[in-house]
Amino acid sequence: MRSFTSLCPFILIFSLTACFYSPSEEYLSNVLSPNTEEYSIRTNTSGNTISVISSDPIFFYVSMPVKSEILDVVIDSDFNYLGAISFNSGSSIQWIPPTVNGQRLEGMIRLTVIVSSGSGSLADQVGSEIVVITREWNYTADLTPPAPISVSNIESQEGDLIISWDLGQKINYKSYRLEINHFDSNNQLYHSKLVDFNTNQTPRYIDRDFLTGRAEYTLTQIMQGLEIVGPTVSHEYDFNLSFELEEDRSLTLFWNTLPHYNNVSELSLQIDLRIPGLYIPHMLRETLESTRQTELNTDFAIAVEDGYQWIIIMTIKSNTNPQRQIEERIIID
Amino acid sequence: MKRLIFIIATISIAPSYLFAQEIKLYLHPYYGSYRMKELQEIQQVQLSESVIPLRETEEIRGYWGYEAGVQADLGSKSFLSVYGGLNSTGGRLHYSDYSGEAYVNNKLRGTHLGLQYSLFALSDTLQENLSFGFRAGVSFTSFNSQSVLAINGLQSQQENSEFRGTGFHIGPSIQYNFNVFQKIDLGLNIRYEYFFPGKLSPKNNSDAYLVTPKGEKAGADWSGLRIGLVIQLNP
Repeated sequence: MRSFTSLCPFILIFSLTACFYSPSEEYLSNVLSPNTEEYSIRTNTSGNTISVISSDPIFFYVSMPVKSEILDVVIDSDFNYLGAISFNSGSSIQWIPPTVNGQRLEGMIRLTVIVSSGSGSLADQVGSEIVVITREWNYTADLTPPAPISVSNIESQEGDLIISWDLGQKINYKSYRLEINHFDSNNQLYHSKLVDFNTNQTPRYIDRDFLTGRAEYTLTQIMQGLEIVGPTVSHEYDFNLSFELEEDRSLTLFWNTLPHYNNVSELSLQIDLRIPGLYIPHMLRETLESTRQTELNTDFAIAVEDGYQWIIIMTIKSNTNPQRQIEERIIID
Repeated sequence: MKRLIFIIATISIAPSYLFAQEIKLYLHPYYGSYRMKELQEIQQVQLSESVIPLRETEEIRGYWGYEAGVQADLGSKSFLSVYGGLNSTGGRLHYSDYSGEAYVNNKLRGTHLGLQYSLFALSDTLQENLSFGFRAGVSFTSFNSQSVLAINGLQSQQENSEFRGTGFHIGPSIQYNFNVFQKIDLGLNIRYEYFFPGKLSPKNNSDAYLVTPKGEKAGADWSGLRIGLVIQLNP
């Protein structure tokens, strides 16, 4: 009986094992679940259309929280060609679009990008929380070459030439080039220039580099491994400078009126004569100035000496147009 | 569990045969402050090495313990007690958010068994109430570290590590008793236990042992102050 009695406290303490320490305190983080509006895909093309004119890669950019990263990318299309898609640790995806020479591809493509949520939650940190972003585009691929293009309009405006052209309906190239060549009245090339354009730019160029004579304009479409050269368009300047050597050894210069300067409020005319090979720019200078074009003479006589080759430079200045120089070489034996 | 039952049975029945004299039974709940420096360091390592931003929601600190004993009168105002008891403590690392939770629960349980020699105060006014004692015994500790990762509706993984160790303790105590009802006394006990922890080895591999961040053997150090009530039955 005594032994049984002595067991009682221990039966009691045995029952107290339920009172053993049991950890229970919790830390609840206030991290927010991912907001799907923060995840999107865009590409350089506007709208929901991708028009492919070459096999150049197309880049998709994934907008996502800073801590997110691309885990996988899947692309599928309405046609049998998918191209090659790849991504790295950044937020961009490179896609070599499917193209078939001589065949036009058209249909929908669907890009599915799987990214880690980047929410910082527990599931995100163990890689179990992902966000799937899907977007569709209308896709066309057409690599057949377009027709050549050429300058379609040249217009004088206050001494400049406004060059414009039409890109045509089929623009399956990204860039093209305008080649400009200027020739003097002796058909000598004195200036040449190449200007690159892309198809997003306004098809227009202002030529301020001409001096005299004639200009030629050629447009070249640039495609992958292919350049399509359009016809050359030539333009004669409407301003002409000429001379006449009189028997008394006086030189008379003639130039035409300048109709496209009619609306300019101030205009001056300056003539420099320079000996070639010597840099004496102001050895002889006669200047005519007028505030109205209509008051300008259309001829100007100066005395010259024998045995020199003279270069006559006519400078037209106005307050609305960059200074323009018109150069003529005059050889006086 | 078998060990616990064995201890309880031993200290319950043995005094009845060892001491023919009158015996007293007591139950002693107490609050113990436990040192546990090495296991606190291990918990800090668990915290720093986790790839999940766990927080230490509970440090390994003091907790309640329970003890029971049988006291036999040796005469000359001295007594010998056989006691057994249970200690527990632990710590916790935890993190949770809308997507799930992860935690590490570190649980320590100690079972102790020992002898205490007590001597009542010689003062005339206090001699019936105040006693001083000195105890020594053996302790068995189990350390369980449970790691859990649970993602809502997706996955759950759990890992348990269990270690066991044996140590020894000694310490003085002082106790004040007063009678509350017939054969029932109530006492206040204050004591200090100094612990000599042994290594903590995996349950099935006594050659291996838990080490501190410094590479030293880690033990469960139950050293500390104990303050509690004593409910004593005088049959």
